[in-house]
Amino acid sequence: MLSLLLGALPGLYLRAEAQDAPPRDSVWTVTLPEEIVVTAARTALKLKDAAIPIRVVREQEIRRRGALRLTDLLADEPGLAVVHGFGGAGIQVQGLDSDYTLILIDGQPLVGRTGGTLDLDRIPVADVERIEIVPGPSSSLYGSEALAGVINIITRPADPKLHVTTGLRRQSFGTQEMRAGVSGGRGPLRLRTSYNLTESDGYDLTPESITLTSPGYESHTLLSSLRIDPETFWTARVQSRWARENQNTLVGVAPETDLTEDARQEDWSLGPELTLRPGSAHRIHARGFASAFRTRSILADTLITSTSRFREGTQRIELQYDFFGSASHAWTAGGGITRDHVTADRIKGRSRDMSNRFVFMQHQWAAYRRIQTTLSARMDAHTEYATRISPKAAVMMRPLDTVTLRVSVGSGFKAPRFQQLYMDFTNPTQGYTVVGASDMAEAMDSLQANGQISALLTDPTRFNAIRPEESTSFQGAVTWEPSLRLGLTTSFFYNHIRDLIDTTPVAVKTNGQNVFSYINLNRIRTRGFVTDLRAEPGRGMEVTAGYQYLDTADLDVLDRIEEGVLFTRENGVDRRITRSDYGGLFSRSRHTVTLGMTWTSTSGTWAATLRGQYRSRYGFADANGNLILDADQEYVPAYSLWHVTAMYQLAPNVRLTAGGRNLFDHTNVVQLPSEPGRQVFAGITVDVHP
Amino acid sequence: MTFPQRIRLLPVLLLFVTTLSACDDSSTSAMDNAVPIVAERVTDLPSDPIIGLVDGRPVGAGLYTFYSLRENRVVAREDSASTQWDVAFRGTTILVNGGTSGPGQGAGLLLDGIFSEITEAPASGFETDSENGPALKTGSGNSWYNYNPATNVVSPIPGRVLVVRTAGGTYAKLSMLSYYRGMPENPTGDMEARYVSFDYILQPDGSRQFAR
Repeated sequence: MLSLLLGALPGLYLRAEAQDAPPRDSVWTVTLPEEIVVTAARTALKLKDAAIPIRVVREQEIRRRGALRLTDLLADEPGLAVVHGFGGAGIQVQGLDSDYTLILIDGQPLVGRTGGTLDLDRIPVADVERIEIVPGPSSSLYGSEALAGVINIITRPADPKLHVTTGLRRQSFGTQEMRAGVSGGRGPLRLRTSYNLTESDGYDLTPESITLTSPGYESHTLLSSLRIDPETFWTARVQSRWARENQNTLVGVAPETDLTEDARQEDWSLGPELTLRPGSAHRIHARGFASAFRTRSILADTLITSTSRFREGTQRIELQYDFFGSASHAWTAGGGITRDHVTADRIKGRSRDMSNRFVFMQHQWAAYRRIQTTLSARMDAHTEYATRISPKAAVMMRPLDTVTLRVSVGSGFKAPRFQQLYMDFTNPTQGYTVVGASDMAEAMDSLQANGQISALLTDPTRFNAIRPEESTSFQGAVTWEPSLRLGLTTSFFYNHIRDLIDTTPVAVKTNGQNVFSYINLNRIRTRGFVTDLRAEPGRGMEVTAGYQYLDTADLDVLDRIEEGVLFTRENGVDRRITRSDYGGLFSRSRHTVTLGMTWTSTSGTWAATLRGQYRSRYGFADANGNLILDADQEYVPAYSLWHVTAMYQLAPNVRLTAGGRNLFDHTNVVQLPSEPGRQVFAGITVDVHP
Repeated sequence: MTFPQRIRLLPVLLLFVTTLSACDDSSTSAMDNAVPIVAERVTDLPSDPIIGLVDGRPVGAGLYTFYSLRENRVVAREDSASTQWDVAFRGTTILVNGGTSGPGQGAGLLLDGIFSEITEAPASGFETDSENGPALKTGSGNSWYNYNPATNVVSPIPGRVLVVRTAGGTYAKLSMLSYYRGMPENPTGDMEARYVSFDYILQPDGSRQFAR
């Protein structure tokens, strides 16, 4: 089983190396059964040897928690917060928005961001074997988006023997999940494929209105992986994913007839990979990746139908070479080309292409037995914005056998989204216009030629040189593991992000409305610490506790407070804002607590978990006109959610799961419409080995 | 048509008080000629309120409400070409009676500061309405308000003070209070909009001083 587990990782050489009885002092080789991670360094590595802090959520925990979608799972992790926005459920890492975290499935990027958010409710977790969470910037290996962190979802590898899994689960609000998977192998071939259908009726927190708070949906996911390992010098694998989600909902009542929206989104990806092992010190990975994401929305009543479409396609080829020069040096170098193609109704000319060439390098050095350093850097040369170099340095020290220190300094970046580059549209009700940064000069010329501009507010030529958002970040972590039954990690982080891309008015139109475009504008800071405790106080009992303290600020707001030019209004009287009035960035809780308790029966037949998440109050929206978070009515009140799950192994191949989430039925219809309230569920999983 | 309700906040003569140190002839003469500083609150002044739907979206009549700060009253629309009015409101737009908007000496500028702390109109920086737009700038953030596209709420920007030269050449400062009828404390997007409320202080003697 373990050899198979390793076999599915990008670093396929590891298995061979383990069999070759590696030199004792080598930190690059795997001495089973130590846990291997692949995300931290883009090559397989012992978890305890990773120079940067990394969290792993294991299969056993995933099963015990009874999670349905990825969102449920990540919400339990200390330092992560699920934030629901326009594009769905995103994940906030180190106080940074969800579009600053790269989400990978088996090392390949998950595609399809809507309004910057990758909806993690789209991802079923039944097939997930492990989740690796790397907080802090990893742009030095992964490029854009890996600014706040990388989350790599690793699916279960194929069994060599024929194995069929089926599962059924029912949950409140008419939610049900049906899944079926088959895996097996013959000779060097391993195949695994699984299908998941999740349906829901949606829910309604406002029965007095005719529309649902959250409409029902139907979501299909098909995952497949094929691996060929002739146990010689090469291995090949192909991973694929296809998913589709349909939503059909009543959105309003038009004068004549009901207005309905029929929304569909679909994505697929295909990732072939070939790994060559020309010698024990060399590994070559050739990877390809193709994906597409498309959405279609049809708004219709009996008279009018309006359709909007969006399509995004990505292709990438990449080569990576790992060289294990000696027991204490490992080199990784790679490069590739990514091409993106976007088609949307709001894009001028309807479609655009862009491409990115990149190279990266990494050097891991075990300087002494207790000190290890990792240096990495990546260069991204993009067709639409300035070339970017992202370096990172990390040091791990183990002064005592039970204490590990990890410190890293790095830089991350996030490329402008295609909306920020290309989307041109005029709001039909308000009459304002938004122009993508790439088209600014041209669009302004044409608006001026049509006599639509009454005044320029800024020089449009400034807008051509939009830059990626970039960060400088410091991370430090102390881990204390006095025994296998007790572990405590505290990590500190400081992220400084500049050139945040935001809209700014560039001209006033003759109708009095503004023309907006995107510009590198703000600077923000997030800092804080996360403490994470795991303990097994008694036989069959496991306790986890996490706490995050988070302090965020828009640095330009701090400057304006310092200058005394930012005001608030209290009881009709204006006064200057002070530092203590300022609540930082919206949607960030200062204090977040996660708690988990698991009891397992001695025989392993029973397991029960209780989990809780607490969020202190966080900013919802400005209410007093100064656009910053400062007044009490601008906050979402603090709340906590408690979930319970029980698991019973009825027979060696039959597992029952039941539980409830949000036991105390916390809802907040205005500020937290994504929380449906108390839900109960029950499910069965049957494994068949014919 | 609803007429604005006027509340006389300070129906007082803010007399020029002679201080201990400044008790010379000129201040005495200023006191003799003292003209009372006017401090008023205007509430629920219609600012082109919604009169119906066109293509499903709400529209006003497109007409300005003309207001005299000097006389604290609405000026009839027929007198829009006169120097009777000082400011005019339509939606979030505010005109002054000067330049392209009227025959008066009107001008305006926006300041960031605390209303009570602005004791003097700036000596320079005034603009009049022109082809480039109103002197009191338009647009969310540039003007006196911020518009929240998520909630559709228009909120006055705290600390944004409008300084206006009236048609007659005297100076006034305004603080916008609300864009909604009845001045709700926490307005929502579905409330009756396009009714402005504001406080103002007018120095009728022609000087730029708003305080004693």
